[in-house]
Amino acid sequence: MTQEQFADCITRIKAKDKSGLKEIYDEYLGYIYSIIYGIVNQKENAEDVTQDFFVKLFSMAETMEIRESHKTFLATVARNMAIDFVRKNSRQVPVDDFIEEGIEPVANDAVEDTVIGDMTVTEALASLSENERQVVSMKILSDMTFNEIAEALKTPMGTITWRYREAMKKLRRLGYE
Amino acid sequence: MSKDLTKEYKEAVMNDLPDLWGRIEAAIDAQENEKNNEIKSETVKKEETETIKTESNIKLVGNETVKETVIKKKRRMPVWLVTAVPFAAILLVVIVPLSLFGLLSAGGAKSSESYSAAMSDCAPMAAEITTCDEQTEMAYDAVSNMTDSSDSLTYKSADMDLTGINSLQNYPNTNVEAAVDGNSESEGVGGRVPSSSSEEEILVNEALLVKVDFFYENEHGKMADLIILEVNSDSNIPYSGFEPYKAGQSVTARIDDYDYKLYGEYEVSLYFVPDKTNEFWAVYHIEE
Repeated sequence: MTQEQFADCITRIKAKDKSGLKEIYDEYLGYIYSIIYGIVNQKENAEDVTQDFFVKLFSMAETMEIRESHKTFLATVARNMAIDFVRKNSRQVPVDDFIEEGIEPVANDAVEDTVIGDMTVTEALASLSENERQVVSMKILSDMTFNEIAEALKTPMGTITWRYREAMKKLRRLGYE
Repeated sequence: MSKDLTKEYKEAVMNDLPDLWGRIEAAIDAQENEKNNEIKSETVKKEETETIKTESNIKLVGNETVKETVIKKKRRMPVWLVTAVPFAAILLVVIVPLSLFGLLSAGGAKSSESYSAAMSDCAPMAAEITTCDEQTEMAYDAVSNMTDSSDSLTYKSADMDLTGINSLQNYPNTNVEAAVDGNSESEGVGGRVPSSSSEEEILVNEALLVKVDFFYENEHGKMADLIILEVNSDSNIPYSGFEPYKAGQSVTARIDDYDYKLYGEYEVSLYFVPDKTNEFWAVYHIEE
């Protein structure tokens, strides 16, 4: 979607025409959802926040001023909403049903060699600790820097980078680069 | 063989992408309805602020009861009323009580003082006058009764009674010396000579025009420094102990009443009281 097409969609939204929002939704749902999912790291919460994102986009269209790329703008809004959600629900332990739980982390090299070819990305991510998985998700899906992740999780940046490195070590053992 | 983590992870997420449009649409509709309701409620509230529900009646229409709410528009106060009400309040709260208080305190103080003084002055006189009236009536009755019988008896009875009346004139508080002596200039009663020394006081001058220079009060009573402005030589009674008064001299004398204008010019009679304090007693002659 070009900048002009996006501006046209916003104009329609301002006129309370949902078709403008539908076009944006069709174009960017995956992009927005993956960003949000990378941060909240839980499917149902990611769906709720994604829904809120589009509702908010519809209501904020009247006062919207886009000076940068609309894609960057949407990513920033989605990321901020997801971070807010995580901060508000920081006491709740996220349970990811997208990544199947119950898979034991691969500890044995011999076993690793046998299963590595069949292991999906979801199974590989399930072998990570929750903190590690969150950092990897935010880095890969949400395109966040270590500094942004550290600020969002209110955790020292050294801890974030250490978790990421540890996660990548494990994933490399499982054949992921 | 290594796998691309980023690519596979994103694909996995995208493959499991939920369909949220229905939920989003419903949420937007709900939000819009909520906004509309808020706008409506705001307008209703605005209308309610401009109107006052005065009464709510329940009427019977056919077989149904209908709740009828009567709404009346709030009346705006006219401008003149807005300005007049505070002014009236100030008038009531401040000006009227002050003026009333001033009138009452001034009038009350004056009237109470003068009333008490008058009452104390007049009490013996009233008693005496009552007795004199009774005596006069008795004498008149006696004279009228005796007229038919004997003229000599009538004169005797009348002299006796009239002597009794004249004795009233010697009563100190009545200040009748001037009248007895035929002083026609000083009309009315000005002051009193001391009753305790009424027999011993000596009239020094009965027609001095004086000016009260200074008024004060000491253990002897109310005193005044009098400057003699004019001396009626005819009434300057020679007395061995005093030189005749001349205009310009000053004399300190006891005075009696406060009610007179103290700092002014007056005609007084001056008495000397030798027995106790060797002081003078000035009796005012106040023209009515």
